Amino acid sequence: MHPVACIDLISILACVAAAVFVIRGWKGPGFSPSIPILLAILLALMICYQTTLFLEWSGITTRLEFLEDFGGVFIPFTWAFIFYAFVKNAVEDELRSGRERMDLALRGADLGTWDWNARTDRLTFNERWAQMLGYGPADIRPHRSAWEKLVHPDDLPRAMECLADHLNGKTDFYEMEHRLRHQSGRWVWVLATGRVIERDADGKPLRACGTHLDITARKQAEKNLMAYQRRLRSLALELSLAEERERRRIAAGLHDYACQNLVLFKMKLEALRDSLPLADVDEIGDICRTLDKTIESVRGLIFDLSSPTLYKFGLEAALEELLEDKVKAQHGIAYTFGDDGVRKPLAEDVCVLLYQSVRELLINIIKHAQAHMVSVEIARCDDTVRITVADDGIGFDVVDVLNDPSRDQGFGLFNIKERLDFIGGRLDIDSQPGQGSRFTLVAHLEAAGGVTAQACDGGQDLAD
Amino acid sequence: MTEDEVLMLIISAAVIVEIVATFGYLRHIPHPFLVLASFASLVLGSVFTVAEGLFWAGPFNVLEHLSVMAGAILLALWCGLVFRPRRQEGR
Repeated sequence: MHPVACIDLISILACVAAAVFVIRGWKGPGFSPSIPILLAILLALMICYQTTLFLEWSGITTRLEFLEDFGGVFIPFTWAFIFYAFVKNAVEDELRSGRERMDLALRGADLGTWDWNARTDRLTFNERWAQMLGYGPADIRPHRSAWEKLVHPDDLPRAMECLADHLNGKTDFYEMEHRLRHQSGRWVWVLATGRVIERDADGKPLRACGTHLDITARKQAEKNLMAYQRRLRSLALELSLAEERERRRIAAGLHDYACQNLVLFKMKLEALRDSLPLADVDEIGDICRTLDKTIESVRGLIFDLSSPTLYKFGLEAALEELLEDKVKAQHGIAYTFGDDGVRKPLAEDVCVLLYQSVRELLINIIKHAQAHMVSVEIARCDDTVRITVADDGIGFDVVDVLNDPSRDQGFGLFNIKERLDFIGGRLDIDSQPGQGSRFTLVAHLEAAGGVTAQACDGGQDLAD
Repeated sequence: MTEDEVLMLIISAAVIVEIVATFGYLRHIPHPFLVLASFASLVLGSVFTVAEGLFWAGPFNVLEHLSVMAGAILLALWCGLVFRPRRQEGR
């Protein structure tokens, strides 16, 4: 046999073997069916081509030369189709795996998806979207009106406004939290996000897609937290008022018994002094002086415990007295006090809270600010009272102090802020290191009216 | 050299362009270089066929047949690797 015929025979055998592999493992590699078919065609053509050559070179026949020409042209053609099929298969694989990854990610994040066609108002959802509301995918009409019917009536205007803003290009994406009605009738909170992904030449939206996340549990937790926070604030305020009541009771006790009795002793001693021998007069004088000092210190203690002026003459007088006694007399810091003179009817708890707050601010200034001048101004603005406490001290970084309530000054400010928030007021702080501080306390006046002194009058006269 | 042989060469050249343009996707098929080498051998066979008509007919004829044989063997190898029956998992 001619050596070339031997080569052709080997080629034929290789092609036959390849054809056997393809036929046996038809479904094995996971290709699309077109690839094994095209490979079978290719191998058939190659077998024809090689057989023709083999017959020619082995001298059997040359009459099958047309098969050689046929195979020669169609073999590369078939290769072209095979490569095309490979590419198509790879693209489909990529799309399929991308879709699988997206499905897994959506499932992992527990997200429902929606797809809105603006031209037809068709709104399609995935299974999870419907599941969140207790429905099957086919139970909800795929139309925007179906979604609108499910949205809580209180949330619908806001949702439509938010959506319109995004559709008109005012916002980069659509994001809002709203409620949707569950099949059982309860409301499910969802975080809806999305964006327009296709617009026409005029900028009108054609298609928008997005996701829904069930946030009912988070909303419930937030609600519980808010309620807990309200209870804590209420408790803190109640605690503060209870402390004030107790201080007042002790102060009243000191005033009515201890102080009065000391005054009585002194008067009796002074009366005795005239009837005693001269040698004892000096002794009695010493006792009287000691009694004077004791009476004075008890009066100071009464004032520190609870300002009688607050209940007798009102907040303005109590603040001025506080500045005079605490700031100027005890610490030698100059002060100015301003009052617009307008009536400021305040509820007793608000009045006490404002007094305590200003006292705490002044103590802070004395302890930390290194101030030489303090000013307090009280004024009425519509239905609120505004108290401004300012100093020329070293100032502080407001953000740092408020973000770290564990700091000495921070907790006091945090406490004042929280208590004022609870009664509907507020505390504004304006301070920078080296530039002094300015605190503005705002609280609502009592709606029913009445004068300050009356509102704050505790019914006991402790001011003598 | 016949018209068919030239046509075969032109079609092969077009397929090479297709391969270069879509190589990123073709890399994803199993054992890609084996199947590409098989195709390249067949293209080489076409080149030798054309060359055989121009000069050194004897040697080029042998080279043509060898190239086609190499292409067939590489294709059989690729088919054997890719289409071999796999064991069922879990058995």
